[in-house]
Amino acid sequence: MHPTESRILQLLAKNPEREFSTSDLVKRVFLEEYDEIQRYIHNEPDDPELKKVGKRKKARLHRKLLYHLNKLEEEKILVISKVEGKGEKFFNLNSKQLSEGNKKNKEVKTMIDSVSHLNDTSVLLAGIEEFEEKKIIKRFDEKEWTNKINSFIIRSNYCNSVKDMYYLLLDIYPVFNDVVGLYGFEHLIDRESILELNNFIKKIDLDTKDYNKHINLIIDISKVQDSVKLTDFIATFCETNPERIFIMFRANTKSFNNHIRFMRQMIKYFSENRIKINMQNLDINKAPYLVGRAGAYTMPIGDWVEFEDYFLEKTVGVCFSETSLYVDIYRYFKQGLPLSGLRDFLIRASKALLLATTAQRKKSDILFSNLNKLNGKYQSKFFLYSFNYIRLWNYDVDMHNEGSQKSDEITIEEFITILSSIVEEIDEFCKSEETVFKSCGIPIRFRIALSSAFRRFDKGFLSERAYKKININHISDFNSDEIIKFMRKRESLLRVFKGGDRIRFFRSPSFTPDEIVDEFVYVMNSFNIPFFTYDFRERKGEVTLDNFM
Amino acid sequence: MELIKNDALSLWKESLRYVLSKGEDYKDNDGRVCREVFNFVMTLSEDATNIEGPIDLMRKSKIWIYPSKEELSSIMFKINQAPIYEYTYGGRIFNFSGQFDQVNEFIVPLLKKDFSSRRAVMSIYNPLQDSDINNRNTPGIIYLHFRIKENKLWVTAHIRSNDLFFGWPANLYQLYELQNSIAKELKIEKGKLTVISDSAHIFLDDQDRINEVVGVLND
Repeated sequence: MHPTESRILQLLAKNPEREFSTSDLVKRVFLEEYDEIQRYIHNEPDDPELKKVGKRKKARLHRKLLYHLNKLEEEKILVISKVEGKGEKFFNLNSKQLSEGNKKNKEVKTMIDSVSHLNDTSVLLAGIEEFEEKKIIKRFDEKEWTNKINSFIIRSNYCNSVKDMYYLLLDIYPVFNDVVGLYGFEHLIDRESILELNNFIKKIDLDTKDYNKHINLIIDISKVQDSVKLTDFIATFCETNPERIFIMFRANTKSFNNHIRFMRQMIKYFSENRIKINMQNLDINKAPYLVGRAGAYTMPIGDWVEFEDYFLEKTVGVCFSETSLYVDIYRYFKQGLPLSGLRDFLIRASKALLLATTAQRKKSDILFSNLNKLNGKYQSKFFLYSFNYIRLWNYDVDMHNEGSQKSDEITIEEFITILSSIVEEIDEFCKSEETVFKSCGIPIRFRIALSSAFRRFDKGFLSERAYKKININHISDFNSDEIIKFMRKRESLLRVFKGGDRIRFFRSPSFTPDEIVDEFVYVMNSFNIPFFTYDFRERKGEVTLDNFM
Repeated sequence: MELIKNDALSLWKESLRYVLSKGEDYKDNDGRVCREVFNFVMTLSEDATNIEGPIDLMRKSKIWIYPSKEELSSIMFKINQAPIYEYTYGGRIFNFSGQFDQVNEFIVPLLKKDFSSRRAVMSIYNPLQDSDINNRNTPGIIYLHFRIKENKLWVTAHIRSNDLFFGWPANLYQLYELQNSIAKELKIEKGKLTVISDSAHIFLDDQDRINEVVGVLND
């Protein structure tokens, strides 16, 4: 690409919301030459000859620029956004055209993306820089913080085959930085041969490793037409044992009981291969759950029902999360910061998220052009229900108190009450910002959800785990005081963690599938827990089977 | 009721005061108490000043984040609508229904051809898209009417629902910028800018903040 064209495009990419006139572009693209011309035109002795030279040079510079502008316009990389005065043209990037996949466009897009990335490393955390420096807060995927969305689902019936789905995924990997859920994956299981499905899993296993992304296959047990085939698929899936592909089973107690035979088989395959089982209880929440590198995602049931009723079949899917921040609660208290300051800190974090979404919005036509194409005229609906996340890590203040670090001596119950009132305040802030922006003719959706963080997203940043993991030996463990207390605590937290949470049980190794089936049924019937995970990895070096640090 | 001022900040202040003292209360769908005046008319005279004053004041707040002038202007002039928005004024003005540039294909040529035309109406509301009972995001500004009087461009804007506290500073700035741009195209001066609000309202839970701002404005 010609250096002049490259400079023009970089300038436009840095300011995607602005339209540039040719006069503006001349000044900025040919900075040095333009300065020199100005010296001629405004020369000190006011020599008319020098002025003439300056004007000639200026006209030449305009012609030079226009040559490249016209070329870029002919190639449809730029568009003329308006013409003013004596025919002065204003230019903009042609985001629609750039989504077309020819070689030149790809070159331009890569260049534009790299410029956008540079922009985004600039500080958007106004007001919370000090917490960032103290490693209390961090942006999820710092480099791409506002360039990519975190998570969304796409409906599997958008594609007729796993081959189509594979190509669709290839198109959308650049758009997200954590997880995509294939909603209703049973549709593709019913349609495709085991061989095709197996090939698909193997291919996306490689891709997700290469791109460091996660894929969730969301399977509703009650909608499976051929449970024998589903069992065969599970067997091959477990053989492949993909690192970044998780299956999310959805069932209510009735459909679970109707598929006991499948469940037994599935538990056998998963536990033998030490693969976690993710189970969503549809009796409690119908909105899908996703699990990525960052943590769990979901949306409020009311939003999901509305989306399902009006837009599910009109869009390719729906966005769950745009941007995320992490807060290390243990480190917050360890640094001697007061509990009374937590509210102000989280509100400031919310303001940072608003600024981040503003930055993301400005570029959304370019950044998400692949998705926009898929959603057609319903593209705004894709973003209509999304949240921004504040994920908390090491928030079990009971455990802080047991250690050397005191968290103002409060109990977890008191902490949850405080968090709950902070969430109310954050909700108020979001609501009033939506009102402010809508009143100004900028109809945005801006919501924030709290959730828990997974440490695996950034072990180098997050403090060592300071909370108990729960281990199950036998169904009777669910009746122990400790586990009942733990479950009630998690139920209370779920009222605060609107963005979804995952409750993980480590299962000690000696069991039969029937025992696990009974435990699942027990959990689904006894606790108000919409989503839980059974982890069959052996926990080494631990003497008791109850609690672990 | 019509208020006429040349200073945008004073016009805003007077309007807020008027609605606070004369408005009627009702509860909206979200349970918020709204105080409103029907068919309220605010006119900024041709020697307008302090257009950015209300925005600058709103942006000083530490409680909320007010959109930047850059974003407000971009919303009014950007042809390609970002997909995250349900609608944008720029999209409706320069690319209505994806096919019609109302400024350059209609308003400007019409007024150039016929200085006294009363047909230079620009529609922002699109019934095919907005008249949907499930759509909660429809434009506040419904239409604009451009007229040339005394060789100046007069603009009348009709706003169906006008949050006088949060919305008006932005709306006025956006309309003024558009008036300015079209007047330049027509090579004439700007004239009066009139905003007719079907529902000029404030929310009573914002009253403390409004009193604070009105207090500042009193200085």
